[in-house]
Amino acid sequence: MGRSDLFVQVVAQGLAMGAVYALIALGYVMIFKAVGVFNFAQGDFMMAGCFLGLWLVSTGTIPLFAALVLAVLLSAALGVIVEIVAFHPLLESPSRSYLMCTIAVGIIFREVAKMRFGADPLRFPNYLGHGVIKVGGAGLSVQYIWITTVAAVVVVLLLWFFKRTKVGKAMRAVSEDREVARLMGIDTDFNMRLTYAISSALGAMAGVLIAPVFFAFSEMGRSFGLRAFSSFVLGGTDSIVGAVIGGLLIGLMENLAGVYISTQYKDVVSFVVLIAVLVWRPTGLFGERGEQRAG
Amino acid sequence: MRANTKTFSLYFWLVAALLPVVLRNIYLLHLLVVALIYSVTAMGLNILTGYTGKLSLGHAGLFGLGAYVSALLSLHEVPVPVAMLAAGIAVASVGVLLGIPTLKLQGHYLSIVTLGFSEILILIIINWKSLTNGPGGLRGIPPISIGSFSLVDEVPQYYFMLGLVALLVWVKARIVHSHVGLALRAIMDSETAAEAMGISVAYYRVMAFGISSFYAGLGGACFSHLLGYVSPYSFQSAESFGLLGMVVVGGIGTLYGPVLGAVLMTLLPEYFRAFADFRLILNAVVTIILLIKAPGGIVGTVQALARRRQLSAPTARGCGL
Amino acid sequence: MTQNVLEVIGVTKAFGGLKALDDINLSVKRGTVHSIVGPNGSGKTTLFNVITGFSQPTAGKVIFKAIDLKGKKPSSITAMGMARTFQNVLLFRQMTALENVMVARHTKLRAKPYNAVIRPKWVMEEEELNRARCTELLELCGLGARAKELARNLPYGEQKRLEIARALATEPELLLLDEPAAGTPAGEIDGLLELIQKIKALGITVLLIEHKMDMVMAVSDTVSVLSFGHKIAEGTPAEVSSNPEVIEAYLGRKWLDAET
Repeated sequence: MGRSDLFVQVVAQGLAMGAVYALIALGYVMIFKAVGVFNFAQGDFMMAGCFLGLWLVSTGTIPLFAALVLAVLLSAALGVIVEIVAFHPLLESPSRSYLMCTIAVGIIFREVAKMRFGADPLRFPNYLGHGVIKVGGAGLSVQYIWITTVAAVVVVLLLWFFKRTKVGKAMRAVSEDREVARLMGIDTDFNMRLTYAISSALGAMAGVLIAPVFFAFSEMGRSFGLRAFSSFVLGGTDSIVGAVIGGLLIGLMENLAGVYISTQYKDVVSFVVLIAVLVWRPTGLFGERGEQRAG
Repeated sequence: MRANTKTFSLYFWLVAALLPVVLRNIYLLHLLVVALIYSVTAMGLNILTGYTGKLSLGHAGLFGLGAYVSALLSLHEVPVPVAMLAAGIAVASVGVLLGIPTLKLQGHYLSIVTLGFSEILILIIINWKSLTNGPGGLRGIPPISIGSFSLVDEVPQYYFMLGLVALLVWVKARIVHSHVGLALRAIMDSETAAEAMGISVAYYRVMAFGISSFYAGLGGACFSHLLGYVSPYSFQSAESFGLLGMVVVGGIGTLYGPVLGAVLMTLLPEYFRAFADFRLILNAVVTIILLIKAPGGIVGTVQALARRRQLSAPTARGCGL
Repeated sequence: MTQNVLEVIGVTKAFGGLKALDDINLSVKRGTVHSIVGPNGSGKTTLFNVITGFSQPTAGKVIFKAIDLKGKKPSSITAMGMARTFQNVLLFRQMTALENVMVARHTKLRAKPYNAVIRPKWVMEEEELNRARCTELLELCGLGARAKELARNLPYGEQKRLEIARALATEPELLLLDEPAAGTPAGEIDGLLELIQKIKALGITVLLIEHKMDMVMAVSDTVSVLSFGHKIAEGTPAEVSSNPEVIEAYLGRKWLDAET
């Protein structure tokens, strides 16, 4: 296998991973636009979706694909419940409290998963197939092609939802200005819950997509969540397209660094990108947040 | 109200000093030592988050750095007290280095950088195996000794930590009630107005990072020498949240809040020991409930109640606990 | 010592393609009350921000006490003897009125940061003197009884005056007031007028942005008129109010009456 073939393979893998980060990052974008807060539990919704899928599959009574869909739906419901119980009461509190609450919720998810399923990675049924498609000398895993394709379809659907549907437009109005939207007769509470439902569903989708490749483990929300978070910041925190591009870039950089620099410090890549972006270009690559307010 | 503070302090330290006499339970005393160690770092976090308004999600990393610096120095034959002080100063310098490039960052963006920074610190500790022994951690760290007397038993350890915490509370009280504390609180309230009043926001922000990190580093050093071992997994980002939980539960922006919070959050899980690993969940749940029901924490809520009771008195504000 | 405490020379401030200030020249004589008037959006507050160092001019310079302020931070400019208030009130809301004023004494203290912990006798004495001085300033601004009240709990008019007290605490030679009368109840306007005259009597030069024209006319020695980032007139209150260009700029509106 030639050098360029290796490169093609790494790029394909990077794009697939990036697509997964992008899905999770979209959840960050939605919550940030709705509440102005980083939802630190987003990665753990991904983990929750993954384990819900695993649990449903293991019951053996539900067909595999039905189980996956059900897992995503249950995660959405979980998002709504968490919003009602923990986040909604803090909507008017200092945003610092809201932020801390999302961290606390993430920790609870993680620890509950650890108690129920243990700390070791669990195998997830590989419904994506094992095949390899030859492109020139490079072998592209079918798994990665599936992941990238499904994620792309989801992103397109989401964009359509926000641009074309009435509910999507209402959600955009709420994210622009909650008070004005309320005065316009939009049910902002319902909207907030829908936002959480969709963002946790996005996370859960990312979870069930990547689980066949990486197994399911209780800390996966943390490691994937932080990479997705870097993507979200790189993309400028307020744009869907930005988050997608940010995700793909992080996926690519990380996998290229893993092959060409050192696997040991592969984990550091997303942090370094994150800090570099925040310190030198706080609006991200595509953000239009304008100058930060002083004070 | 100042008088109330004095009375509270007096009772607090009196009860704390008598505890080992009343308490014959060595394990409980050990937990209190651990709680006091955490309270040192929590106090540091409070200086940055509660008095300067910069939410740090990375104090576990600074805590860990302090623990490793002190442990490594003492394992290389540096006297323990010197190593501990050096750890405090080293971590303070790192805090300053973190504070300078992040001056332009506000709110959550700053918090994220502290989180990422702390994660990188821990990743370096895990991966730099030749120095840190990686995931295995360091063992056999020498205890603090005074002459030929080593602090290995719980009772002397307890009194040592109690003395140190008292000293650090005193220093913190002085800072908070001085012109420096006023400047920090001004920055928390409005950086623009503070700058307009002649306060160099950059200077004081970096200073707050420095002082806060010094406390964190010193807390880490205590962890090393009193517990005798360190592992990188004791300082992961969930622990940063644990520290925040202590500050929030005890009372953010209050003198004794972090100490009470650290004690409570360390002792509480012990009553629920039927569940393994329940500590983090309990911590998170308690923190959420406090955030929603009593955002001022224990001390803040008590202060508010006292204020309401003395509403007629014009000086009923800010008893400065 | 020059007669002009402040010189604004050819200052232009552009936001993107839009020029909020276009080649502004301004000389403020020591010991006077100098007002800047103009319709909303004429660039008055932008000019304040440039003078106080909160925003850097695109072109031109600001000279304060014969020193070019280029690149100086707002806090250093304050330390040099310039203080300001804000159009929309920017107090330390979580602090008491007295604490607000004490914060502003920062540059006047001899105590160094380490004196927070190491406190010889002189530090304690300085603190006591400082507290007394701040209480006096509160009294000067009619807030003597409000010392222990949280700033955010004060009525708007008192918040405006607390901002003035706070600015005075920095011992300025030049005080910039951004619409001190806005939101002040009609009954307190006379008191405010008196306060500005007291400040002038203390030898402090005042640069004033204000919409209430009768107040501007009563208190100012010089009035400059801004319109769309240009200075279109300058002179004594009488000169300016009879200037045809000024009346034109206000589109024939009876602005002398309209704003009162």
